[in-house]
Amino acid sequence: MKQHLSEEQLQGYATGQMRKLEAAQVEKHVAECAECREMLGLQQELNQLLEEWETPALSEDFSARLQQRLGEAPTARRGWVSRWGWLAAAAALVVALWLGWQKAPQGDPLPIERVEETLADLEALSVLEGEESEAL
Amino acid sequence: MTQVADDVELMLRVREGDESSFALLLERHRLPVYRYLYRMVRNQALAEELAQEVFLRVYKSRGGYEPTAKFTTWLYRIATHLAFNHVRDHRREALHGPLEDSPLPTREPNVEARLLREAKLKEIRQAIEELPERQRSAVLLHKYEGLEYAQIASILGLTESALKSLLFRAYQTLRQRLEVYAKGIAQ
Repeated sequence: MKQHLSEEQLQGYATGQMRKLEAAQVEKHVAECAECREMLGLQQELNQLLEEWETPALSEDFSARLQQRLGEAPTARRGWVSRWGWLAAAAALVVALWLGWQKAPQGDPLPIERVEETLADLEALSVLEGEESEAL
Repeated sequence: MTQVADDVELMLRVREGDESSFALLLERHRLPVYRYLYRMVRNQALAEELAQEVFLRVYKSRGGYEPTAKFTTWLYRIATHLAFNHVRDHRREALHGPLEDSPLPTREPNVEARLLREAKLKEIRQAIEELPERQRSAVLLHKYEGLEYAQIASILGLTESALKSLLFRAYQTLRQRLEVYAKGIAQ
């Protein structure tokens, strides 16, 4: 092996993920090449240092907190059903308001309750759509 | 003999409404995902929050789940996306505030050797922190999560050969930091 070791060979040997025959070739090369010997030494030390990087323990209530949040979150599948449900409700409301307005004497303002209902439904629909696009 | 369900099988069951399969997936992957995110953002509370968000997204998206790739590829793609977003949004703060870190192991009995070891560990963590985010993510996924090159490439949106170049550049940088440090100590 006249060329220096490739990065893949360095990684493979340093992590022990190399076939015996290829590992023997690497060993033969590093016995003769000081530069690769130093590189391999550094890579092995680096791997060892990385293995020593511990992390703080995960909070014991991690899963419980997640379950609580899952209980609050709308599901994607239910969301699709709800979206069409809300669209149908909004369409029905518009038709009902239009019919109500047609029957009312000319100049009568729309009942304030109906306007508030319409606004609340539209707001709920936009929230639902926001959650759906977030979920996707 | 009981056969352990693989991740894709469990996720398909979750798609069909099986909550217990989601609990199994959570049990299996919560710790590795948290550890990956911790090493990305170096803050326990934040890593937990991001890990929660990962599993929330998995759950919310279950209706549209299709097993086109390994489950872990999908899982770590979500985690990586969230980590990158956080790093980008808080880059300025990170430059000015100290990063939280886990305690260094003190197994070395000799005081001088222990101090040297600790200094090297800090140096390497710092070097990882300073890597460009994709290199950092590639090293962490490769070193700690045991993902295949093809999976990491898919997570980071790279070809496999581009991923290898990226990964090897990262390892070169880390080795150089270690080399410079070792030479500095020797002088």
